[in-house]
Amino acid sequence: VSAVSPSLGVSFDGRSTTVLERLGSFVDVVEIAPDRFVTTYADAVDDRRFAAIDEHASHLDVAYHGVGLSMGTASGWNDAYLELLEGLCAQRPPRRHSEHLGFTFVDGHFLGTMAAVPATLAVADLMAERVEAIHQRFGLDFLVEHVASPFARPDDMSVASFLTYVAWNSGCGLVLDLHNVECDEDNGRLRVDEFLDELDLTLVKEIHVSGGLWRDGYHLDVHARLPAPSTLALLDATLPRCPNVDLVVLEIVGAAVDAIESEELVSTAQDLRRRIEVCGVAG
Amino acid sequence: VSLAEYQRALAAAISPDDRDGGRVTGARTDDVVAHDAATVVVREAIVEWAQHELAMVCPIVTGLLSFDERLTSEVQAQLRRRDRPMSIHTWGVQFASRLSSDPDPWISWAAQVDAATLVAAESWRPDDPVCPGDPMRAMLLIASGADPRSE
Repeated sequence: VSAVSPSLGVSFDGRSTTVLERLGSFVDVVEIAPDRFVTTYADAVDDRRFAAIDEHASHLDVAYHGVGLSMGTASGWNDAYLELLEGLCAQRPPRRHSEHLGFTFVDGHFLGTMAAVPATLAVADLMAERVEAIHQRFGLDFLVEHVASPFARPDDMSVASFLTYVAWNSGCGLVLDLHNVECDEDNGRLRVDEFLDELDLTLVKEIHVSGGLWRDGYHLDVHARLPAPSTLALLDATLPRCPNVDLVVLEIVGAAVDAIESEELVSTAQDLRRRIEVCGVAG
Repeated sequence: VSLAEYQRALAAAISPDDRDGGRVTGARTDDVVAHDAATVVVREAIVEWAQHELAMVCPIVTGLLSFDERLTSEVQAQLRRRDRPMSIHTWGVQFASRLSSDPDPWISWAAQVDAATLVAAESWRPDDPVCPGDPMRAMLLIASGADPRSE
């Protein structure tokens, strides 16, 4: 294990360049959501797509983090997303790419949200099969992420067992989104301590932190705020337990960035850098 | 319950046309109350999200609908359609096109302008960094005596 701290990344949704202008010199990686980087899936992908990144953060690595593959949809995933991703990878090769173990489309209809797939053996096998297909198609390091979802599900195994099973049986790694698991705990879906004890943390290569909103007693994972102190404390406690994490990403939507004071945003990035230098060692 | 059945039940539960709480087949009995509340919360959040997104791509007709206190009901009507694409631009064209035949002439006019603007935007995508893109911005610059091409 080399004594190298994980990199620090920030999300960029293509809508506002503020986050790149303010944090481009404080982070190492820009996490791009391909679906939000273009207007429609049919859009051409060329260098002009990366103009804002080249202007404000040309030195940064990129990582693609999808929201529109809908890899959990029973009738099949959204192949237009993968075609878009192929264009982006050809134009700007990423450090890695990742997606969520959830679904945004049902029978061709966009839900307007992302829901988690049920944690069952049949679904785990389906997810592992689809992850393997993505591996074969792209040949890149690929991670999957658990989706925070307040809905009841017909689960027959724990979320941690489900994630570990999918990763073990497909060869992918995991994104551990600490705000997601906090939301799930607050919404009665799991216990964070039990989840972390059960999850094979050696599979975790990326950790995400963000802040959400409370609505009528539910904690929603909408990336509209900076990470809460509880999320940062969870990062401090979890990062030393994840020996293969090489990237920590601050996720926040562009519209929210515009409402945050520049100094607060920069100090958050600096605080995250300090925390990962103290707590994290990338192997 | 199969994955497909679960997904269809959940899609119905969080759609504005399902007002009965959207109980998901196969959910554990002790989860049903929490599930009902969660679907209501997410359903409302989706309507708010959709209003925000449509206001960005159809600013004139959504603005007028808001003055008339019709925006929420029209967004819910759009959400009830079963052919919603993920692209907000494509969805905006559908929304504005539907409202272009609205009996209120102002709404009809605004919807036609928004729809035409979105369709015209297709011609200069992908974004040209030297083009202002936003027609309102171009008009404001011209009205103030500035040439938008020299920005």
